[in-house]
Amino acid sequence: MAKPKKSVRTKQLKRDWQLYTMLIAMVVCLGVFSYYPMLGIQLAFKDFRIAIGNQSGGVWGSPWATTDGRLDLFKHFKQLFSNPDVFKTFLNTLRLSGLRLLFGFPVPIIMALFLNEMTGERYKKVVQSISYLPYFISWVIIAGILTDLTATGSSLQNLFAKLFGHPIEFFGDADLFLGLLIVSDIWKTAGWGTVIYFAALTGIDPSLYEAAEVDGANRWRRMWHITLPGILPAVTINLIFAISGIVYGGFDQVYNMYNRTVYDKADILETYIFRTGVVGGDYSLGTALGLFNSSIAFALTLIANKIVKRLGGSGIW
Amino acid sequence: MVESYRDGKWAAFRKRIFGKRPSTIIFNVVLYVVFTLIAFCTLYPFLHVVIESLKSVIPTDTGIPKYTYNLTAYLAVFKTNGLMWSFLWSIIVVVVSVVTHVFFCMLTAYPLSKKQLKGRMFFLLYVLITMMFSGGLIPFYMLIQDLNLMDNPLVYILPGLVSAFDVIIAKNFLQGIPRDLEESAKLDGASDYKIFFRIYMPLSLPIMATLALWCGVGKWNDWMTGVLYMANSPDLQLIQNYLRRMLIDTTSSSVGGVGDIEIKNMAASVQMATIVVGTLPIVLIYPFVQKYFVKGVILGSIKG
Repeated sequence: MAKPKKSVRTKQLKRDWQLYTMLIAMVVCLGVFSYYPMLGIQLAFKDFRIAIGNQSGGVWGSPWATTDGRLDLFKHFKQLFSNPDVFKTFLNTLRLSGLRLLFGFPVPIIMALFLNEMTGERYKKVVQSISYLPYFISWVIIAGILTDLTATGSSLQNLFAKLFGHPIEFFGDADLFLGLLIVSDIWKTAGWGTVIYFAALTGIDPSLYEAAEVDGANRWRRMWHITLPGILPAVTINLIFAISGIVYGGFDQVYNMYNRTVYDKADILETYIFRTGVVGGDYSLGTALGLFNSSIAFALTLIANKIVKRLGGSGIW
Repeated sequence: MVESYRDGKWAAFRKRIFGKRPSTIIFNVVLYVVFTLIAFCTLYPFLHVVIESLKSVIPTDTGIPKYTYNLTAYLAVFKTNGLMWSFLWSIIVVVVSVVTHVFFCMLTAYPLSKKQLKGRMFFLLYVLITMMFSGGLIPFYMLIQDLNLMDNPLVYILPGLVSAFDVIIAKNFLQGIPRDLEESAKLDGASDYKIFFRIYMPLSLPIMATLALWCGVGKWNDWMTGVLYMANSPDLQLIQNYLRRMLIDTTSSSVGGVGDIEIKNMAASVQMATIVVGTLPIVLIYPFVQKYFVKGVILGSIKG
């Protein structure tokens, strides 16, 4: 029995060996740049030191974490949880993501629903194309534009001065800055966010609309009973991703826009990891914080997926 | 006669667009007004940048500045070596990373699209896991240090050579190509490589365009790599880093390098002109390639 089986396998190998060679680059690349850094997570449980002379160091050579000579693997995590800065930045992250979810998440849905009602195809296309554009502009450039837009003496500030009697310091006041983060994020991503809902809309059977019209359902009823249920699966999937991403506050945006005066509410976990971990060189603490963050994100994905499935929707797996 | 025909056409157009019943007409008019406003608000920041870049100040005796509009700021931009260099260097980096990224993603996706391949599920899982777990910023940072990729241009190319998401999208596309051509080529004794290059690659142009565009925009907008791994070689940083130094880092003196002095003395109009130049490649190609971007998202969502 064993002999023919083996010959089948060698035959397959002989037939497909070229296909296997095509996978070599991928195996090496992901092995080095994705899997190897996962082993680097051990740094969270070690006291990082640099290798100098005879002293071992780096990811593998650093000693396991100790306090007063006793092994204490969770030292950095204990430090994290007793650190008021970490607590504050964690709260800031949740606040910012929460606001984003509350104000930003519904915008593309509403936009898609109403754009779908537009009868002029050409005009609709133009509006769509324009609304996608900001998505492809980097936060670096957007931060630069916003600074100039809200600079003293700009036409926008002149308008605010007329309306409120004084200019508005978006980059100087923590609460206003949060508002600016939310609004600029909606400006950048909402239009592009409609793409996925439009893809879902094309899957709706047009005869449903015709039948509803015959039954005397008005525009609002058709929107509520046909269009909305049609995009609901896409909405739930997006919601799962948004909820699991709640511990990520949008590093790209915040890092390019914030400044010291708004750290109080705008300093998020990722910017904190960047400043203490990379810039400050506290690698162990930074790794621990990163691990803490990604663990929460992973747990949230599982929970959100489960809840959606229990409610009768289709989850992401 | 012509007049009435025109009226009739206009009425028909109006009826088609806005409807007949008063409530429908009101709804549609509001719809059009709101979306026109949204489109305007979306474009306004760009408009502002273009106008500001054209503005130059004329000194007056009264102290109230007067403005005129001309192209002096753009002349200044093209004379700034730092910007021109990082512009060209970014284009080189974008082209090289797009070509290598698309090629290796396709090369990986091809065997994974073959259902008869033994161990296919293992390799698929190997790819998929990287989408869900990562070591995080600092272990990755230390890896780059250990590999001597710090201040090395290869850091733009190698880590992003293969991405799980793009491999999966390409794999799904390849699975949709009918196999008759491949089978007849096999009978003629063609090797797998030959079949991949001669049959599948030419048929995969749409998906390759999609992957190329996403990769290209990502690279053009990338500033993190420069900040993290090119901190000591500003000459090798990309256009976004140049823009960052000009727009955001101007108060901190931590970064030195190409054209730092020229950056700090820049007038607002020159800054805005630089933004226009830095955004131009994207805005110029965008209208022609929009459908490929949309396609990429739709392909990705079907998989999810």
